[in-house]
Amino acid sequence: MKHLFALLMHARQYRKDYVLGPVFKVIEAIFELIIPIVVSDMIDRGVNTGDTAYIRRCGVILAVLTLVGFSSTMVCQFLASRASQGTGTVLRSELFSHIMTLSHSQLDGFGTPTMISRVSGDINQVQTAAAMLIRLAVRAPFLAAGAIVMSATIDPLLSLILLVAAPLIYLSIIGVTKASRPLYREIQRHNDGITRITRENITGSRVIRAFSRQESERGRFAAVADASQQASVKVGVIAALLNPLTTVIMNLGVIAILGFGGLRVDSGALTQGQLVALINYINQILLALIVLANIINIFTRAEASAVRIQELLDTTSSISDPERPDDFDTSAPAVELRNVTFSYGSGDPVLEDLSFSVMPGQSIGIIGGTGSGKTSIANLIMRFWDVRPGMGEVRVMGADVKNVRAADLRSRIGLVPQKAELVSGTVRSNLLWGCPGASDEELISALKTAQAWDFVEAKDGLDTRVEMRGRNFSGGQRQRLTVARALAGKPDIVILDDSSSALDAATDSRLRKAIASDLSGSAIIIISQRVSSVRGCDSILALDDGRAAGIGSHEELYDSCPLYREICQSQNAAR
Amino acid sequence: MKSEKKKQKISPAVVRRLLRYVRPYRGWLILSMLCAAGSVLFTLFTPVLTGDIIDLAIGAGNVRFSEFPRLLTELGVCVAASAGLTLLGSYFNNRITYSCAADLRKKAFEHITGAPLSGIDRTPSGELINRVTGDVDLVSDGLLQAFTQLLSGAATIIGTLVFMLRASGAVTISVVVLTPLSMLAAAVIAKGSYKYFTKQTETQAEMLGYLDEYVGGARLVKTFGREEEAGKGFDEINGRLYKCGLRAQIYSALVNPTTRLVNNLVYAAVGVTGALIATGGSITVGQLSMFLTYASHYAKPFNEISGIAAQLTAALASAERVFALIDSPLEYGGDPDTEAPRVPERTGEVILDDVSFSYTKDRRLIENLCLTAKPGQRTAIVGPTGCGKTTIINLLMRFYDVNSGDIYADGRNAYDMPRSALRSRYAMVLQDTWLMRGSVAENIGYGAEGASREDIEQAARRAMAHRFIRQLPQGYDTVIDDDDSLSGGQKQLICIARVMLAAEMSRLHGSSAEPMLILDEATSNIDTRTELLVQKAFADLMRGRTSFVVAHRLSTIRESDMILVMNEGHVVEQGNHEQLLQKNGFYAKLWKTMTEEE
Repeated sequence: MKHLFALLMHARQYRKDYVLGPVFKVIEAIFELIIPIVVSDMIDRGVNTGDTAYIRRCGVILAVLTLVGFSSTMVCQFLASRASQGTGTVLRSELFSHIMTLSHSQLDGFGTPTMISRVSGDINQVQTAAAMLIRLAVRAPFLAAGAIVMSATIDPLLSLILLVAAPLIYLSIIGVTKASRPLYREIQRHNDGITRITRENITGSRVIRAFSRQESERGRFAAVADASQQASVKVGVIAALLNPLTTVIMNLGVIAILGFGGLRVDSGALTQGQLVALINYINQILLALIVLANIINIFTRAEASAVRIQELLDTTSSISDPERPDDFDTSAPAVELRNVTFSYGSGDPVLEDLSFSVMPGQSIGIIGGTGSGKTSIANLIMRFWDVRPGMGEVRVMGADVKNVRAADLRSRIGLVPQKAELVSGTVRSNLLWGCPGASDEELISALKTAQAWDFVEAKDGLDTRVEMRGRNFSGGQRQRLTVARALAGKPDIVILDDSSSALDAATDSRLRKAIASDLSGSAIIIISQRVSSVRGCDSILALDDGRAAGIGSHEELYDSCPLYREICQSQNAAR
Repeated sequence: MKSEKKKQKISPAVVRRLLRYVRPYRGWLILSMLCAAGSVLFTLFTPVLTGDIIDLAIGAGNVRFSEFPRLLTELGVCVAASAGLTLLGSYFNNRITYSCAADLRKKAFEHITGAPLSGIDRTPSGELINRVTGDVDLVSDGLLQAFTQLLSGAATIIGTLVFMLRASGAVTISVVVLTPLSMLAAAVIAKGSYKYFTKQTETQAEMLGYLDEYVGGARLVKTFGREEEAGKGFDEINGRLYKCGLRAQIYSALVNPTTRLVNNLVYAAVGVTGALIATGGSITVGQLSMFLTYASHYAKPFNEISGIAAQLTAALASAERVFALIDSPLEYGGDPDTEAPRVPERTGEVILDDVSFSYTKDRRLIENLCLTAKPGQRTAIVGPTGCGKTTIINLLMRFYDVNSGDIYADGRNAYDMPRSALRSRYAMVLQDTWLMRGSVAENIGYGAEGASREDIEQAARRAMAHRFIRQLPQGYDTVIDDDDSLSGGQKQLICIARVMLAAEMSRLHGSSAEPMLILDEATSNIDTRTELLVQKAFADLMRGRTSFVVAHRLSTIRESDMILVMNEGHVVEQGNHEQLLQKNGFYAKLWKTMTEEE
């Protein structure tokens, strides 16, 4: 339970609730333990002597005990609800902010669905466990132990039967739980499959229909759903073993108490009423232990969730900010790579011994085939990934990117990523991502530069609604909106990563011309596969499998670089 | 597919409908009932025997041992029988519940695969996913509780009454009169909590949608340094979840103590009444002990029913959402029953006749579009970005239905055949790539059942994907995902291989079944040198086939038999390259800027 408790410590403001809640619960438990004694007294001193007044007095005592117990429980329930819901809220918020700090490699490593299920499902488990911790974790063992103690005060010898029965009941509970645990994992795996296939069928709805694969998709889904069903039944039956098993043990205890109790009554060591009380106590023990088993179950699951949550929380970003950041120098090259060799993880290098620079106000085009390492360059400039020590340097405005704050670095750069994605909201709210606090005029001018104002204006202007991921826009519209978003703050450096792939040539051309004239002071990096997109740049870097095949102007490269010439020829581009 | 927000009452219709899913398993249900009745009977008989034994032990020197062995043995048998039957019953219950859940899930999934795309495109994916996963889980939890607790609960109540009446009418009445109080309390609480549970589930779905967008788009958030704002947005939803979650929790936390209070009061009342009657001698101390046990037995089902009341209301709220999904129309619901003709006549002619379409009523898009693609013709669709090129493909494939006008494919009205038959006439590659989780080979073989590994590799070679696939860690067996592990270009190549394989397989299996081709910016992310080679493969594929190509590359357009020039949803010009240049209109202008570019 180590991880679970460590997580609960994150919600320190509820500390008092976690302590006070169980206290109130124990008060109720004490009263509950007194009840069988009162009833036993009622039988021995009331019924067996015919004292009706005593019986009535006992009745009043019982009612009072119950009412006081109830009020005290209610306090506990409130505290438990507040603390657990609050803890869940704190954890969700913390985990979400933490995910936002993770580096690209870490985000890739976990994967979106995993992270989402940790923020939602896993934290819900922890939240439930937190509530049970307050409500039952103390009460149940207290009741079980208390019942044994109380029975010992009645008849120490017969209480030995309880002392034997309780561990047996407990062991059978643990055994069943252990046996079912791997099955729960199996169910979880199937359920992940159910989620995945559902998601795939939503994102792939067009392709699946185009191939008319709905039937086989249903088959694929049915297979997982059936597997989940079978595992659930299996685990359900194993879990259902618990109740009969424990009841049998308890009843064997009852039989023993009755058998030996007969002897004890005969010898005068025990009264009839006390015999009834003992049977009541063994009942209470069973109930308490079943509750205990349930919460152990909940805790086990929550602990597994806590481990998963903790794993995510313990993953601190590999990209850390320096304590004393260097200053940017606007007269230095806007971007400079010096002998950079870079690979993702332990794979082969994607970039090898690469050097180039671009001055403010200048533009560079980076061209190369699929997988030649173009996007990796953008990743390094943005410091989404780090170059390993000794494998070269990436400098932005004179400073090594490792020696400036990542937020400062990124705010200087307007990146248009390859994947044109927006977030739900309005066009305005999306553009403000690029430049918080920009005026409407500035946003509109960015839209105009990005050749997006026409279709935005035709809808509702800056208030045009944007649906999730921007799917209410076409690919080309989305691309232009992402360009506008990057340009909104007039950044010192603009990186266009294949960001006109969905644009027709005319729009693409207008876009590049507008960027060149509207952001004349910025350094512009255009990553593309199209010669037409890069030929107007001051210099062009041709990439071949991570190595520079040549750097120079269009004409220079056409004459000197065979790879570049080949690319040009494939696109009917003249010298 | 919108969630219904106003409903707060448990509607009997939802319960009835849920029960309809149970109907196929009524055999199991009957067995389960028998087990419940049997186990309850034996369970209830144990206090009688216990009471009898207690009455044998009256006091010091006054214990009748001769009866002990028989009664103790009977007690043992009762205990064993009730345990066995309980176990058997729970097996049946689990079978019923999870079978129902699986049925419900499959039915809901059918609507995910079959709902019109207009619905899918509009509903947040998190919400849809939750219906199939979380909501069905809640329903099955609720069902299981209902079966286990309600069945044995009902049997317990009836059985207890019978046993109690046999011993003493007066004490029984005190039990019967008082116990409904706990039900009443539970009902009041359940009524109050339903609202908050619904609210809670809705807020959770909203949060899932937000997570989907922002965790999925975490890279974007970092690019713009929006971590803090993203956190604030999350906290806002989180804060609302706290509020409604807390209320829901407090309500559900009320249930147990309240019913326990009532039960304890009943217990006290029975104890006192019983004790008073026992002093008169009409019942024994053993019977009093039996009554005390029964009082808790009798109350327990009420107790548990109220305990699961909250769970049941949550389950019904979820069931309602699942049913809302199931009630959404299936796109092929209105499809003609006629199967695709066994030997489809494939002329390869496509006609759009006076077609009008718009996604929303207030914004008109395509109006009175007429177009004829002759067999084997290549039609290029060009125009400024966002002019409605992709919409035509949506209509050809019947992803969306026209508002008016007719579409003919292979000389048959596209609306007079099942959608699947229509779609099988086309092979399609879209700009938005989609891959499923699975090996590269599985992904390429997706549209072509029965393709061998050789067929797959052959298709990959033609799509120029073979080389990079071989470089992947496990080659064709590398498990890929629809995430960012492959580049956009690589994904497109795999999608192209997929279509090439499908086309190849359909060619092999029926010569007349050569599909028409739709390429929507299919090579936009592929570098041009590779693209040139892919285009060659496409050209082979397109030879003799009717094809529609949304493209921005000159070579593709120029060689087309027919060029549709679109602007703002209208086809402004159509003709071949030369004709259009002669017209010296929109296309000529477009062409000029394009050639200047390249």
